[in-house]
Amino acid sequence: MSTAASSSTSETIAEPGLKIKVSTKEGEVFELDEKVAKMSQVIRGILEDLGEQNGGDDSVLPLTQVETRIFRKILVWLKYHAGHDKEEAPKAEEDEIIARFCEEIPEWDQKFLNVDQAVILEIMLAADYLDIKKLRGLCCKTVANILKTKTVEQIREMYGIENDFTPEEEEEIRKQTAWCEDEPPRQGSNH
Amino acid sequence: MDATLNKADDKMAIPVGLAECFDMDRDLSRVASIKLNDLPMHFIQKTLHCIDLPKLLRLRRVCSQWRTMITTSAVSGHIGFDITEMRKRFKTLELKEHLVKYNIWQYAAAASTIVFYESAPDYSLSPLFSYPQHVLLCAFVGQAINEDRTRIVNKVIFVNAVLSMEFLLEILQLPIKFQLVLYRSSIKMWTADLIDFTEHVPWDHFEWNEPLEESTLSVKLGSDDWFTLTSSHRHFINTQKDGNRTLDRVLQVIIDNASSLTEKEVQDLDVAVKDFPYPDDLLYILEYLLQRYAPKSGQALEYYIMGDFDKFAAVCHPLTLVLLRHFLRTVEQFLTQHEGDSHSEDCCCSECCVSQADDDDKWENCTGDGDSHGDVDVT
Repeated sequence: MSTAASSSTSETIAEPGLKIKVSTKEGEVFELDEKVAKMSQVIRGILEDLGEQNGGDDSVLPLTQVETRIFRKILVWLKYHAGHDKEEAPKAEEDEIIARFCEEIPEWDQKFLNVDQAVILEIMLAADYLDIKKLRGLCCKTVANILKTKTVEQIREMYGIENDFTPEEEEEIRKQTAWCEDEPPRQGSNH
Repeated sequence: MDATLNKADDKMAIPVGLAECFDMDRDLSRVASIKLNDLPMHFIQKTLHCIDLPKLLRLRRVCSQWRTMITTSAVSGHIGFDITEMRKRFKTLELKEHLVKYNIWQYAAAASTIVFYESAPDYSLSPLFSYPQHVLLCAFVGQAINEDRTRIVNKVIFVNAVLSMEFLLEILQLPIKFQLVLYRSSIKMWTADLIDFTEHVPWDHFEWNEPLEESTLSVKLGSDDWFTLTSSHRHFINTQKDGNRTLDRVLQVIIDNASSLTEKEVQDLDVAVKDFPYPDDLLYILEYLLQRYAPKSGQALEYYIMGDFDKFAAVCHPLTLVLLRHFLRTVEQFLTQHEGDSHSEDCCCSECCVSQADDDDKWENCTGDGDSHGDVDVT
């Protein structure tokens, strides 16, 4: 295995600290600053279980469900936020819901997630596996923002979803929510 | 996939840290193929939770699976969130915290109507007056005489309240008049009080009692019989007292629904609450909405009371859910404004509150213009 990357190159992380090695599904090894690594609650948990003794040796934390190509992308996010976010306690599920529901997506994250939807979904899955709630929430909100701009028909087409309602059923649902059936504009979205 | 990434246009303004994503994103786009429906269900639910309710309800039409998911899970998630969050916020506006000031009118702002909700009368402060009644009286005694401001309040509506006769008589003696409206409320009195009531109350000035003239009062004797009262029944009550000992019990006078409110006032009740939101009034609002918009919602209220939001959402008409949420949001905006009185004037919500969105307290404390915060989805 080769060490593929090091977060020490990040401009935003001033203090060199403990280095954490993790390996991806393909076995590629990444060396991360401790602060960057611990943004993943999974890695944080493993480190705590190990008594944080692995930093000085060659032990590598296996992230068996994360592919290298996605991990590289997530690493960019981790580095940036490790340098720019305030220290905060991990959010409880309820807090995460509130944050997801109420907060706008910061500009940097918008640009970071300005990618193909399939990529967003893969990031979402990896963030879930790594237990990076904030990133997962950002992905959810990004996808939600895309859905909001689409008509029902566009969504069906986009995701290959079959309309399994009878015309009567669909009409009934349409009547129920007629007051909110102002279809969104078909232009103006990046997605 | 439909998403496009026009990196060429953005290249000149690539933010710090994203330059290395350019090739990365291009490679990822080539190989990524996962679709939304391939994700585990809870991901889809989390995503749908991020969509405001009216738009979410629109998506029920996508397919039967989405309809079920949105109705039974996502919608209840919204409602559950709102209720949880609102209850948390209501704690910050406990009347007791403000009682010492006896200045409830500060919340009225420029409003002319104040609504009191009384879901569980608390007589701990006064054996005669429940908590809202006590506060209302204190406010008047403490301020009405000294401050002209009070005069902007020309109507006080009690909802779901049990008012004591003593309270009403106190109100009648106040130098500054306002119209007191009882909506779905009761007047508690002893028979002896009833005698005094009929004999000494200056009927001509009983503004709140005008519906009497139109037979809109009912008297409940114990739990058995109901009578419809008119002003002509004053004598009837007296004579019944002498001739029927069953009246030696607590009587409740119930004002019929909405009879003392105009139709528009009834419709505006959920809006008027922003004048003075009272803790735990959600049940009333919900009941009101259900009765008005979804009389066939059956056990919705019971599910709500039991905290089973999944079933609640499943049987509730979507319009009721949205209106409930609209109400919650209205209250939230009011509370946010209220809490934000001490907010820094330097705050520019569209920037600081968004850029520091990770700060949990930021959006809660910020008043701003409302642009960056919880939106009111139904207008």
